[in-house]
Amino acid sequence: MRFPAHTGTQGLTFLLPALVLFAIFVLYPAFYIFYAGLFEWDGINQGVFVGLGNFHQIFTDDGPFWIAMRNALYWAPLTIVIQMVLGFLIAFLLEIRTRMVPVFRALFYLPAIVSPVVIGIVWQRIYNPFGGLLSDIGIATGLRFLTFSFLANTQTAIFAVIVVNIWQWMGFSMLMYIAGMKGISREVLEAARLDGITTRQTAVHVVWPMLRHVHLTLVLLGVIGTLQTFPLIYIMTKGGPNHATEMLPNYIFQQGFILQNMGYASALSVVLLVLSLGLSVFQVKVLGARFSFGGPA
Amino acid sequence: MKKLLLSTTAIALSAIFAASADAEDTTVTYRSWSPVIQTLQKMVQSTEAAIPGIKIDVKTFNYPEYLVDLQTRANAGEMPDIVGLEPGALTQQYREYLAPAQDCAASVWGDDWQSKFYPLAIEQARLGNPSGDENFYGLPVLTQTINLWYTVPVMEDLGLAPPTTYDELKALAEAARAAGYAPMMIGAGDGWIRRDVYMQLIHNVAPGLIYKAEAGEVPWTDERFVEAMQIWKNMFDDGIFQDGALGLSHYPGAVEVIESGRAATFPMGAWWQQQAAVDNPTPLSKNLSGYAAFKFPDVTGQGAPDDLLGGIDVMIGISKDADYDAACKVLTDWIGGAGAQTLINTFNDLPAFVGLRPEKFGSDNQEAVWDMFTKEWLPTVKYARQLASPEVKQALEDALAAVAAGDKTPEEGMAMVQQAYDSSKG
Amino acid sequence: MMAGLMLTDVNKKYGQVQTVTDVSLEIGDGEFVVFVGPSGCGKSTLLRMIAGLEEITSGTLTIGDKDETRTEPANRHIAMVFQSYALYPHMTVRGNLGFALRMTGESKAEVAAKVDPVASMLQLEALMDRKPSQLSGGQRQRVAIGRALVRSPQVFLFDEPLSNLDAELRVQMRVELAQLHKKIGITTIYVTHDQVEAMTLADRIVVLRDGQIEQIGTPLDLYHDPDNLFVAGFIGSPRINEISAIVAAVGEHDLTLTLPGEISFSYPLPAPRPKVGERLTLAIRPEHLARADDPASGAVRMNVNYWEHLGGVSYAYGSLADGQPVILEQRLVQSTSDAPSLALAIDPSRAFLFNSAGDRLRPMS
Repeated sequence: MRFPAHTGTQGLTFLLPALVLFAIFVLYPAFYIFYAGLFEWDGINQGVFVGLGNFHQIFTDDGPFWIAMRNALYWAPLTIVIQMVLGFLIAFLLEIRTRMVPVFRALFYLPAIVSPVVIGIVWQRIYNPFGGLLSDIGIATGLRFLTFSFLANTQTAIFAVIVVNIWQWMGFSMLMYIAGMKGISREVLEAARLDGITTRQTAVHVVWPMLRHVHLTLVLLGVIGTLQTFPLIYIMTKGGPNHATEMLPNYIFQQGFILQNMGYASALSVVLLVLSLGLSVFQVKVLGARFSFGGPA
Repeated sequence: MKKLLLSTTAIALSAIFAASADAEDTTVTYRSWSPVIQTLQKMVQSTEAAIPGIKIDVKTFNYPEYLVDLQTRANAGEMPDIVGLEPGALTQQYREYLAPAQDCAASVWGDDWQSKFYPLAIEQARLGNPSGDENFYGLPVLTQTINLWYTVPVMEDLGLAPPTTYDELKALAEAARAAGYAPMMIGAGDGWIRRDVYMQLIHNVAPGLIYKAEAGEVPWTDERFVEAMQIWKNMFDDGIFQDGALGLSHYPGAVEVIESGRAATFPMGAWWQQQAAVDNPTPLSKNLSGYAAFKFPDVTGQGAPDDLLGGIDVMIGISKDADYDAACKVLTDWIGGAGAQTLINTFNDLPAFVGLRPEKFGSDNQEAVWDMFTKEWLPTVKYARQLASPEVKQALEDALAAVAAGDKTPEEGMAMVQQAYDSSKG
Repeated sequence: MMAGLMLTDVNKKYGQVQTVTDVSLEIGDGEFVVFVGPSGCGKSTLLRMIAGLEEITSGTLTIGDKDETRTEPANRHIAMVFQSYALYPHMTVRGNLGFALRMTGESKAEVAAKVDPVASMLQLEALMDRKPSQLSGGQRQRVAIGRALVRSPQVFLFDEPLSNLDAELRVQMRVELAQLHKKIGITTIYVTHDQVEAMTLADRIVVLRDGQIEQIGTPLDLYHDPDNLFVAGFIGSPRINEISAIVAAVGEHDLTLTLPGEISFSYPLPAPRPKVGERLTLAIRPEHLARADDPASGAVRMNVNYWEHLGGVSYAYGSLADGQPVILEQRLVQSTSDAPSLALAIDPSRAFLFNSAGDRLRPMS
């Protein structure tokens, strides 16, 4: 069997640096955590081979894992959809309707560049029913429900954190939409204006559908962001109360480093990896085609 | 030829420099979560001044990040020379990487070196050692008790004395709430403070019982554990803890409220004294003028125990790869030498080494508090604040949150702990 | 339902910058008017002011009998075709055509009743389910026109609609536009910088420069009787020749001008009467220059640089004695000539005279 030798080797030569980096930084760790996931291992000393025991335990006897799964199911749709809608609205109002000064743009984006640690501490304080901003407002206005202990209640805590996450990243969605809107021809909007299309109709029927590529990007980033969520939970609730706000990365961290179950944490990481890969492939294959812009139908 | 000559010179020169560096300075690296970096840097100065030829390189992290750092370094074969340790699980996890420290202690303080330490420190240092292993994988540096504190001006304002019974606690809760204070300020979002309170409750209900459960002699579902759990729950229901306590972290959430003078009492430990030593202390913390420690009230009515819970705050182990002598010099200096004195001067926590005392007190109250801790309380400590198994610890902390949130009954909560105990054993 | 349109003393200021100055203009019902001028002359701004996309700083705009100066664009009964066509890229041709109607709440049947005849008139039926990205430039142009037509506007505005098309398509679309206007007869304002488009399409041309109207007139008026040197230069291709002239003598009925090469030239006396020694410009179109039969008799001489033979017509490019460029057009040149210089005959009745400010000096009579 003969290949056109020079093209093969030449191509490979050019690919080599990327392949080497990919192997070192992606393949090796991926295989390593899969291997480590087969052991009962504290991360330091000799592990005990348990086969698929860790995986078996994850799927059959791990309450916090399933809470983390449930929370991801709350987290992704809620943050993605609400963030998209709010980010779009703000972008639309700033960009298309009022052309407000960049100061506002910066203000809305500010939370996205503040460290999640700071945001977690500040919002924990805002939610604190003992002297927190929200409860003070509640007392001052008579809106007593604001004095509720949102973070202390296992039913509401995850939503309280999701609200903060939405608040933090809304500005990022806004920025993405502003960038998208910059790409929309001014004349199209003027045409809509001449056609007597109302502002609301322009937003819904003209601008929103023209930004499909931005929607897709935000959905992709939102799903990835959900699976990577860590610092906000870590600072605000530590996954509590009683794992009510557990997210997979937080749970992996707790298992691996706090509880010295590195083998189990590795198995959880494998699950996370498979989940991420599966979702990415799903999005590119299924949503990708539908979300592509202007191409042949 | 010329080139060769040059490179030979270079090698010779570098050899000289290397040799002189060896002769002058041995660098000892320390990584830990404790003491705080400002204190550590002062200790480094004192120790480097006291021991010629030693350079100390220190870095601190928050506790969880430190665990990540330590594990990564251990796996990479780059263990720091000396490392901060907690007795029990953490020390046992790194046992294979640590050199026994008793030889070091004996070389400095003689064969009766153990008598230089508070008994609890010696006892707890080997927590979790396999049976027959009498090695000290670390030497205790700081110790602590866990207890309650009150804010002096707040209690004066309320006209109340520190509560000694559950009824007095309830009376305090009512008065404090009416005046806009937190009766007992807790950041119960943090597992460790939940556990600290529970440890004191169970110590009131049945002293020593929990350690029997750890040894498998008593089930975790024993009614006495449930009773302590019920009291814990009552403290939420009766408004003794401030509202929303489960949603707040102890540091910095609760501490901020405490330092702003809005808390009547709060669970903490001997280490609270260190608030006086930070840069720009708050008025209440300055010279510890605004705070006083008190024992957990008798919540069962069967009489409060005389002893407090406590143990080792931080101990330090020597890496097997370290220059043992140099590491030993630094370690022992930090326990009982110039470095230790600097450490104790900052009120970071109580010493493990008997007889150390801050050189300067800012107020009579500060001195009185110190003496109470070191002379009255610390010598009484019999039982550890810590639990041996990380899984059980975690399960207890989870159960406390679940019960406080009303998701589980006290019985169900203790069943969670039992389950974790069972799975950790098998 | 169509209407004329009137602008009265219209101004546009952006802060301190005035881009349109005192424009007054009346456009008749069904008239096709072209705004033409170099880029930056304010023609697009003026169009957008009529559309309502730019505010009118001062002055009034009347469409039909109604003052529309401050009316919302959508209520002015105008439609506009943009340079980029501004189609909605995510909608099909059908969607684009019917969008405005759907949004104003008309029923599906009503929309179809209005869209279908327009689609048929513009031959868009076969394209109805395509997206704009699947259309050629000319097709997009037709969709844009169709979208405007569907709204049955009183006034039709075009903003450089052909500038994104290639030359061949541009000629074709020009013809289509002219026919369309003939068919539907809507009052149309069309902006272009291309004088050929202006000449071929317009009933009347408005020449703009620096935000002001230089001249309004039919294409032939502007060609044959420009008010100033700018209009003379802008209209006509190749460009009109400008020959510097100095007044040598002012007689009772005529002027004696000195042209480059110390040539004397007689021109009917204009009003106002110029002074001896004044510098003027004599302008004559290339097609109105001729070769002098008798080269000896004091004719202006042209140094020929090169000839361009297009068959039916040939152009000679060269310069006069003072270096001024000059173009000569000749019909039906039979054989090539390599004569280095030519004598030019200038017919005074075909030549325009302008003063140094560029204003036309028309002969008295």
